[in-house]
Amino acid sequence: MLLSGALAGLVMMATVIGYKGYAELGLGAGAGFTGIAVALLGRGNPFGIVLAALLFGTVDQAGLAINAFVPREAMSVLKATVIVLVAAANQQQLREALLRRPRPEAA
Amino acid sequence: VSALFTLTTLAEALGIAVPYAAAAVGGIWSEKSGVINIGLEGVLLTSAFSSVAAAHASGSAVVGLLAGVASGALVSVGHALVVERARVDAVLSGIALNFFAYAATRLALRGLYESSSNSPSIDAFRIGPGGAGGGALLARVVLDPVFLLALAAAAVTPWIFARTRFGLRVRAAGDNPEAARAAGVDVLRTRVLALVVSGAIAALGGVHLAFDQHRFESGMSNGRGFIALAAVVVSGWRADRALAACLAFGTLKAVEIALQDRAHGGLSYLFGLLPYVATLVVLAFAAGRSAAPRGLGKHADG
Repeated sequence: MLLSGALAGLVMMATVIGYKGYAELGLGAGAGFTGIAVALLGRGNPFGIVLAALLFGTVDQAGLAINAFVPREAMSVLKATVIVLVAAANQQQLREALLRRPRPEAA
Repeated sequence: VSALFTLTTLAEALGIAVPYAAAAVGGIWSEKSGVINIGLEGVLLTSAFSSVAAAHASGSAVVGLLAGVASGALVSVGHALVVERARVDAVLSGIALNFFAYAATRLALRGLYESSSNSPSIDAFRIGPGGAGGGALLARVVLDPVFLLALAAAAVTPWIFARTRFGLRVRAAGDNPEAARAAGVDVLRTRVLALVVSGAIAALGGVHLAFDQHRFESGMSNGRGFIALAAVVVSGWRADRALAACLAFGTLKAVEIALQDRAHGGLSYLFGLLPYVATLVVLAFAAGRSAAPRGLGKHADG
């Protein structure tokens, strides 16, 4: 737990000192919550977590990029949908892999 | 000190407690059936918005209430299906539900009312005496149909779990889904039905929140769903105790408001922390004795 807190603190410090240069109210903007979603989507596997974080970052950035044409909220709705769909697909793949294991001929 | 405990404070405490208590009882329904639910926040927001939208469109608070309850049940069933059918991690689904509700209500606010912060004001239920006195305020809070419905839901919940066939099935699905399935209980169906009830009850909290303000504000649930979750854990998954916890929380909040009126500057922010610090302390002591349903988060077929 100590390491966990230290690591999360380190990241936010990097944001405050290196990027913003100041602290503001609600700076984390839900990054902590998204972090839980990232960890679950990556299934505790560091490589998977990097992929999941990249997915979230891409959707966020894409939302900013097309902000002129589509309201930001629409992208947030899309984000929530993407989380669920990716997680469901992920789960489906995992189950198919488990089913395949005992009978290698059934590919 | 005696000035703090007036009829006005009591009325405020009861009113403040309703959204927390309704969400907590809804959370108990969900978790008793074995479905982890951190999406209560999303249910509160969705139902608050749809109750206002329906009341605004129809001009009737009853229609608003019905729409709010229906929408709460709907998103709650969505959570159940995503978790039980698609096997998505329940915490992940709950986070996604909260995200979705926050963004979708904002999107709808913009689409329907061309505002990014709040809806136009609506007429809520207006029952009880007028006037600004503490007694009149208390009467208005207590006679409010949403308050009465939430109270009734909290009161019958322990009875349903203890005495009815459906309640027994819900508890079986939550305590030991494999055994329930072996005994012929359709675990998926039971959990979906429990989530309908859960969403409908939690939605009463959202409707109360919106009707109390006479409008919807973006993000107006403001963490109440999570405090309700804390109440569920503190209560040991029992509706009567969760109700007591939420009343205690509401009282702290009301006292905080009364104190804030008298305090100046930094001190009033300190009072603002009071209910949350109390929640943390109580949680820290309650966490030791775990009374969680044993099959919480488990699927019937592994």
